[in-house]
Amino acid sequence: MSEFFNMGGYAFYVWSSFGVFFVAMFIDFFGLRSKEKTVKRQIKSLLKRKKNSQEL
Amino acid sequence: MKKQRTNAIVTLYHKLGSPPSFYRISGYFLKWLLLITIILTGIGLYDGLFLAPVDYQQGDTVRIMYVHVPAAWMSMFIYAIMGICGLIAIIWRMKVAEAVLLASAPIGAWFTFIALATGSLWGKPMWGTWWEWDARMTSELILLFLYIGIMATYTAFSEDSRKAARMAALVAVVGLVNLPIIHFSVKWWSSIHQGTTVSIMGESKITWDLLRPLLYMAFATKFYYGYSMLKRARLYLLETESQKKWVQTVISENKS
Repeated sequence: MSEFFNMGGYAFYVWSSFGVFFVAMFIDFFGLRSKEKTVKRQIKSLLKRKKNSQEL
Repeated sequence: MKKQRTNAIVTLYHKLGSPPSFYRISGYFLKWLLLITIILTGIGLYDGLFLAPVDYQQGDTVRIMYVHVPAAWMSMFIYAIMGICGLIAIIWRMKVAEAVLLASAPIGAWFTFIALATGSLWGKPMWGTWWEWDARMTSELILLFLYIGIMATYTAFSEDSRKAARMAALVAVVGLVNLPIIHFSVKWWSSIHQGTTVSIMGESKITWDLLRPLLYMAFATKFYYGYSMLKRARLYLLETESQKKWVQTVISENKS
């Protein structure tokens, strides 16, 4: 197993590369999820305000 | 009376051209795109890290290929889609094309960044340098600036989202000239970067055991792009059409 992590002496380069790849993908994925929440919340409050102003 | 001719492809085109239908139809795909991405990435990682043999010249650094090459392919593939969407947005003013263009930019920029960073991490042990101002690397760096430029253009005109989208489309279309430059850079100029190894039309100069994980990862990144782009495009349509009735219906029903 330690041989596997050692990557023939190139551990730093190989694992950093895979690290960069997955960190970037996770930032995109979770950034997108939080953006979804923000956008939907904003539109909800927009609709609420609209409704309230119609009732007044 | 004129006879109505309905063609399935034409109907689909018109449907996808309307934001509410695009929102609804794309909603069915998201879950599956993500699921396929995860499965392919799992298989690709196992195959690439455990099963693929080491290269007799490059040793284990050859495994960097499994993240570097798919990312580099995607950086160009996504830009090509953005260029096409840019043309459609400018000529036919199709809003969904604007949405797809702008939704592709962040994920395209990430793939370009990955290609550059992993290339650097591969170049250091193999070529002895992190960076070289040679044609392949310089043109790929310009691609990253194009992605950033497209996003910045949209933000700069944010008071009018339609105008902003068209300006971004213009930048995307002009930047298309960079794509052939990237592809042929290793042929036109003497480059430190190796030439084309994997080819769709011709014969690939790589053994199947090394190629197979690459294909898994290449498809995984394509499916993830589909997921990320569609999800972002949907949010773009919700945001820019928030005054419209269909958005109110979607939000009040609270369906994803």
